[in-house]
Amino acid sequence: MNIIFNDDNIILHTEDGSASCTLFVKPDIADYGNVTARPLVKSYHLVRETVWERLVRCVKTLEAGSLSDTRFGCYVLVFSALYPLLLSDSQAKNILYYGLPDAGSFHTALRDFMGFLREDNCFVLLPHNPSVFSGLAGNTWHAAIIELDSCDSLRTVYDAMTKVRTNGTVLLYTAKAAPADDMEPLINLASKKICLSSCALYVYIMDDELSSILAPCTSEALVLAGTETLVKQIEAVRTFVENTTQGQYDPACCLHTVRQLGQIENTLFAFYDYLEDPLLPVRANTLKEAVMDCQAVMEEHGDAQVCLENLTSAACAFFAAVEREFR
Amino acid sequence: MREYRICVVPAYPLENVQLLKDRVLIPYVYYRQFGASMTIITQQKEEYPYLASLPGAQLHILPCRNAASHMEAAVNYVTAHHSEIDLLFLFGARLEYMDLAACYKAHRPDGIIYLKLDMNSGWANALPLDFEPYAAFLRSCDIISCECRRLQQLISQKWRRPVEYIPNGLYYPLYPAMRDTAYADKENIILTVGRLGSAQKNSHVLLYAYALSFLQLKTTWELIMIGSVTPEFREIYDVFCREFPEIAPHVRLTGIITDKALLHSYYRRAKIFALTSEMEGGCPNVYAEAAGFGCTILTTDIDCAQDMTDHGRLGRIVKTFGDIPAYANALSSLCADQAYLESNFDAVRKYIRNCFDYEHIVKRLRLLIDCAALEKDSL
Repeated sequence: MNIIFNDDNIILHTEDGSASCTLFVKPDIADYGNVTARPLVKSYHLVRETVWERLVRCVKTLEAGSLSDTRFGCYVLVFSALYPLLLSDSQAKNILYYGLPDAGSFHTALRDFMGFLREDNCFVLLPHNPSVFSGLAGNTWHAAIIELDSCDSLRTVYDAMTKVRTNGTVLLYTAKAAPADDMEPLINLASKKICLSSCALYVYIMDDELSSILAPCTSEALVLAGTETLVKQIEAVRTFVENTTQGQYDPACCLHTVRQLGQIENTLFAFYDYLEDPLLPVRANTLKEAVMDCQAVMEEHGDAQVCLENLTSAACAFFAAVEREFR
Repeated sequence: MREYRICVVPAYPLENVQLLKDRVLIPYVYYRQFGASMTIITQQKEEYPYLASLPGAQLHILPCRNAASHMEAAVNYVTAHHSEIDLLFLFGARLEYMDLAACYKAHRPDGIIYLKLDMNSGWANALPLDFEPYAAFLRSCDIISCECRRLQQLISQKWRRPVEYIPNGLYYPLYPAMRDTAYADKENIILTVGRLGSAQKNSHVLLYAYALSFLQLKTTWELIMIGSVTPEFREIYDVFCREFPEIAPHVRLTGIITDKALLHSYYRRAKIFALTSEMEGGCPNVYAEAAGFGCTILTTDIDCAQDMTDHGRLGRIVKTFGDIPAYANALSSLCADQAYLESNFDAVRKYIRNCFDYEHIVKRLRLLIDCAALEKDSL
């Protein structure tokens, strides 16, 4: 990819010159050359540099640091897509990034430009962990940039998108010739697609319709759906424990109960980021162990008193914790 | 119920003494109760006379050709014999296992891998969980267990997956003298067993704590330290003997005792079993052995201390590592409390029988394995 800097615009060309894309156009607004006269900008009165000059400098920084990177085209396309948003008004912008951490000059350039426009603009790089979105409030960010190539699942993308506020911008990019097949339904929802060589950018403007499509596919929805199953499984375990402690032990149910408790553990670990009690899965494990102990003692025709006491105490601890967690 | 053909692969060539420790005993007892066969594969490090104590267990000696490492040879073995392995038993969360586990799962996606961690919290915090081949190895394990509840909580929260609590315990048939042990057999003996002088054992703490408490004791107590002795600890001991010539005759270093009957006779006679370690891998096998013989445990607060003493009910825990005065205080007060030592004799034995009997523990393991198999079948 080659980048051409003109007086009034910046253009990206493919290597062979067969395709091009205008990335940035110098805005045609009054007094633009004297940026300090703009009433919306208040934090850099002493900086004798226009927005356009700074933008050119940032894009050159990006070019110098990433030109050989296969994702260079993606970076400038993303930068370009954010440009109108950043200039739109004087509200501080919160933008999150989820992708590979080695996009150094892209992050530097974008952060520099955002900081130039307004000191309290916020650009947040999220650690590469699909659970990271569970800690963020929904419907709050002005924009999200997501590198599709580093997303482990489509659910991660949905989680990220639902964190963006109404009328906010979601930018998905890939440096692969085509995104994974399971991304297809999502790609079809994009309001704008830009493909240049092997780089592709998908732009979404969040609205109620898009939100309603995404919501059922998020981790939060999965948790809510899983909770229904979880409640049923917990009730089945409770019945087994009550029967056993009342002398109606059914060995045929034991393996099933152990299996259910294993599934409960796995579900709780899947919800782990949402749990208030981080030991809840371990409490399920302790109850599972007590159930297994009962089975072993019954098989051995041993003294059931100790194992039944342990079962009662492990069950009380688990059910009380469940009550606290889900009440 | 399925009968599994079990293959035990140690991460390093097996030592004879390890044949009678958790790494072999747990799969062995499982095999005796529920398995079809059990094969231990290892490059030969030494002779294995303890194998005679494990009837039915097979030992396959891996070739050492072309300077192939133990683990390379093990991978070759599993590649060639995967169809005869239904349950692969691994010991220690070691990077050495990455290729082996991947190889086994590639050939036998229906097979079960059980990883016994043998880990302490320091080790758990140092694992390269963000190294993808290692993370994949952990994911490939169908059952993972650790030896202490404290560690179970830590690892479960860090790894966000079920980690079972399978403690190190006792296989009672190997301890014929245990059943008939009575408190009347006990003498005023403080016993410790282990690699004396190794970095984590802090053996000098026991030696000097014993000296500090010696003058406070109204009756004479002997300190018997069993196990190999490092040159550094030998030097410490020699200095100790010169510093305390009146106490030194009451301290005995026996060296390694390989004769199990003789070793058990010491457990049988000791009232107190003392441990001063700063860390242990999992849970020392000697804990359950000593408690099984009715010794009261005095230990530092290593990961498994709460489990082994039932939170201090059946023994004493010294919270600070390397604190000789604190350890001496605990030791002298324990020695002075004969009534507690006597009542604890039955209590600790009952506790060990209920919670640390391998023949009972493997029944839990069987349920876990059956569940893992059912989950695989349902996929």
